[in-house]
Amino acid sequence: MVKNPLEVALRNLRLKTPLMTASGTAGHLDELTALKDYRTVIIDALGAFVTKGVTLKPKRGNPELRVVETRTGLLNSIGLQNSGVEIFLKQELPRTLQYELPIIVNISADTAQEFEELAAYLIDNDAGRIISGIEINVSCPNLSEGGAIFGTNPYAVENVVKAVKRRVGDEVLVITKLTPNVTDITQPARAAIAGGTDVLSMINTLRGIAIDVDAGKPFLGNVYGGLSGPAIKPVGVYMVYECFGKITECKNKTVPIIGIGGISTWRDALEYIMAGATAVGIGTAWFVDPGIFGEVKKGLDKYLAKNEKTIDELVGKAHYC
Amino acid sequence: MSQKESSAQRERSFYAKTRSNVAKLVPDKLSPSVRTLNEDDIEKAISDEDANRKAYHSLCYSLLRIILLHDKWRIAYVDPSQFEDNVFGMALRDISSVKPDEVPENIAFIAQNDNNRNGNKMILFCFDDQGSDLLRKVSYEVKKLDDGKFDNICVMVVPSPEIMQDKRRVSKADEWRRGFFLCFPEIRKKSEHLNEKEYLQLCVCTSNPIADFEERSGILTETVEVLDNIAVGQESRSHYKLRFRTSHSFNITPGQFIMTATSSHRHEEAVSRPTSLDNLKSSFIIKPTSYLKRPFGIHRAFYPHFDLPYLKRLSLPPELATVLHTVFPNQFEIFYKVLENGVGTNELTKLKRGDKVQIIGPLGKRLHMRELREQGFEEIHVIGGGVGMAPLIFMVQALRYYSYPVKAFIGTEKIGMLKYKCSRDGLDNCDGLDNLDNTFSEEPRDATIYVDDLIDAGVDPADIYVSSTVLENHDWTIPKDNLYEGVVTGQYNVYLQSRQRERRQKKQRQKKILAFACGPTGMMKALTLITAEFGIKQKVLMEKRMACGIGVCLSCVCETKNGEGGESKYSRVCTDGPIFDAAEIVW
Ligand SMILES: Cc1cc2nc3c(=O)[nH]c(=O)nc-3n(C[C@H](O)[C@H](O)[C@H](O)COP(=O)(O)OP(=O)(O)OC[C@H]3O[C@@H](n4cnc5c(N)ncnc54)[C@H](O)[C@@H]3O)c2cc1C
Ligand SMILES: Cc1cc2nc3c(=O)[nH]c(=O)nc-3n(C[C@H](O)[C@H](O)[C@H](O)COP(=O)(O)O)c2cc1C
Ligand code: FES
Repeated sequence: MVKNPLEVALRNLRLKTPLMTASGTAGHLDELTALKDYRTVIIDALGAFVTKGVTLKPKRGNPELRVVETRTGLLNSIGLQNSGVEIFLKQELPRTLQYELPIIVNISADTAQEFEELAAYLIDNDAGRIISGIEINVSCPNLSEGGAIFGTNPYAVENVVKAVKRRVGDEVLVITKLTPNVTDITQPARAAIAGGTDVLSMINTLRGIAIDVDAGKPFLGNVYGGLSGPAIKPVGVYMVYECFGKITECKNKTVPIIGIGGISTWRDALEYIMAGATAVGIGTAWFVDPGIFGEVKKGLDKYLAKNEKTIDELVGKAHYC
Repeated sequence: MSQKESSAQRERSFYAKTRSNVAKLVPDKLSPSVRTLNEDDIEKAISDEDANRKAYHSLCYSLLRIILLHDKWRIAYVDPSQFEDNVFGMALRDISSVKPDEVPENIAFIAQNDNNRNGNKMILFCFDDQGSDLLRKVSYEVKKLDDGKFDNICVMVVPSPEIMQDKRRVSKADEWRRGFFLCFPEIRKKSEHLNEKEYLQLCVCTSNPIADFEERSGILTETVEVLDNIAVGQESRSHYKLRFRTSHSFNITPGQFIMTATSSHRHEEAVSRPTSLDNLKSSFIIKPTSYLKRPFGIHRAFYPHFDLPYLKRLSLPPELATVLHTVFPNQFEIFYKVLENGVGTNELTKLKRGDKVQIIGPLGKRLHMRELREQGFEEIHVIGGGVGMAPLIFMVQALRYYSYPVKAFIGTEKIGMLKYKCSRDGLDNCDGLDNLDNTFSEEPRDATIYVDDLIDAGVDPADIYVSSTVLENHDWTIPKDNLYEGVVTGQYNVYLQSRQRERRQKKQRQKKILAFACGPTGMMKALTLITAEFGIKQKVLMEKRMACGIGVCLSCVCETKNGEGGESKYSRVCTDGPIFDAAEIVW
């Protein structure tokens, strides 16, 4: 049988395409069934689905205004609004099962201990049989407490990853999602690897503020926001390139990278892959066009056929020229 | 298991299924005897296609009769060849006030109302099970009979929502001029609702409610063609009316919205063009360009073959109207305000006829007009502040199709903002899609936005009210008394007060009224006090900054009172709304 040129693997998890949703930008999957062509989008184009961020207790989220568009970007401060892990497991997760897609649950918390409890809750309630991975959001820049503090401090990152890994074991993949709001991305990356992460994902949003000059005050209710969209793509590509180039585990793909940030075309996806990403996550662009996953897949397909390559062979290609 | 056994088993389960299906259809008293039918009886019954078809017609007729009588319409003609006599309460004897030779071919029966002074006089019913050509044939005949007077409407009865959905699509609807559709499960539910006793003599109760098949029609991404994009308002070019055509049927209900790209080149080109100095200049240095799509309510929808004069005269029997379905609209207008620093709305003004833009829709919760009648509302008020009136026009269009009495209150800063030159006859019809270019070359005429739109939708000018902070001279088509100097909330308050006085004098009962409001938050909030005082139920159309429009990003939240344990929570306007009960919002 001919190998599917799009197939990639994150450790032992096989993905039929390298495309994933980015946490927080595609809800809990069941919302997507409202789309007329969701089947082609979800079943065909996606390799895995990443849920929006879940916390231990329900979270109300930040006050209005929560989003503002900036040049080719989106500044958001949603504040992790979600119904808490209990309702997530009982009501939301079961609905995602019918799609037969690897599910990755994105988790957030305010302390390392809470991260551990959250991971334990998922595993103790047998979520391990349903989900394929847990993505630790050590990088949410929106929260007034926690969030950024973990991601910018390598010790904190290592602690959190260790705490989660301790509970999860090898049952599901542990993915650590890094924040770009640091001077040297390899430091938290190395810390996550030391803590035992299986996969790295990067980048989360970049911290930013937008000011309404007519009103003379910040646009967002929370003042600070996280920047996403095409505006941040070069930063994301750079960080993937750095980690792949400088960290041995990344280069030999024992700790593969999921590249995220500003992808809106197949060429963007390929940039990340050539920089060293094994899979890619698409977030904001999907708001612009729900057909994006299909389009990116089509583009990659064409490119691979024309050049007689597989995604696997292209990972990190930009480093070898 | 041998193959033979399994086919015998299949057969047995088939008969059992048929038996239980039939038992569901017939009245309680009969159903035990149906359950004891033997296989030969079933075989004989189901193999006689003609008798079955006629029996089905008789059942539909008997159920529709309940609805029509409730609306005070009478049956004026029945074609005996299409019915089975003496089943399901069907009696062919007493009906004949229309001469058979005046009836177009294929019509099964006719309902008539002699008291209707200005609206339609006859409703002609036909069944769709006589071949695919029927839509076209009946359309032609009915149009000939009507001869442009719009006295008659035609209704086609189909067996299931799915078939109806298919026929309502614009492609099929091209053959269906000025006709409505009805589907059997809805007739059943409605007649059960209206007269349970009589219903029970015909059918057993429907246990499962009609599946909401419309819900399943899904959100589409479509590239639409711009038909025109014209400035509205006398002095400033601050408001525009954009008309576009969709190629597929677009099943959108009032209050729902679309998100549209604001320029015609796709975002892919916009963000991934190889960077050259020229590109940088055009896309970055001079002006920011929009990235996300922008949300807009539907201002007006146009239905193929439903000419505006026809719509104006339309006066459907109210109960029947709530189960009638039109063809799907395929042309839409959005009416938008150009924000001073608005990136997207400024881009929109550049669109020209023939440009293609990508839209996503329909978005937002569906509001089914027929539910309003089930909730007992007798009259609907729409109150719009500024551009907030735009989506309410579509609401009124739909309300008129469902035969609701409507009163509209328009609040505008300046009367001049409502005036514009209509580049094409506002009364143009969608029959003339091919003539679009001809109508375009007509001399522009003076038009008043909202007011003319409401009149086109069949609202009586006496039911249209306009308020403005400055009342300038204007050639009004509405009564002078309906003009008010001030804000729309003031006018509405004054109106309700005088209405209450009058009602008390005449010792009349208070009608059950529902008000829809859309406009600035302050206005909608102020209205809640007024509606509460007069015992009117109020719904609002909310508007928040959106990113995805499909409920996944949680950007568009507003605070509502329905959280856990009596606390408030953040609800999504794009999927939990945009229509909310005003009482539900934390203002
Ligand atoms: C469900 C829904 C239906 C809508 N229907 C209509 C409609 O029928 N007609 C219509 O004209 N508009 C409608 N709007 C509002 C419309 O979406 C915004 O005016 C538009 O998105 C502004 O885009 P922009 O790119 O020009 O502004 P941006 O470039 O995004 O913003 C520029 C400036 O405008 C301000 N601004 C942006 N959005 C809004 C807003 N929603 N309200 C007030 N100020 C804002 C910003 O604060 C900023 O100062 C609707 C909105 C929603 C959510
Ligand atoms: C509205 C919104 C909500 C987000 N929520 C989360 C979240 O809950 N957890 C998380 O790890 N990242 C979250 N992110 C970050 C995205 O997953 C992604 O890393 C970032 O947006 C960059 O990718 P993009 O440019 O393709 O959107 C969110 C982003 C947006 C725009
Ligand atoms: S706009 Fe994304 S949830 Fe409403």
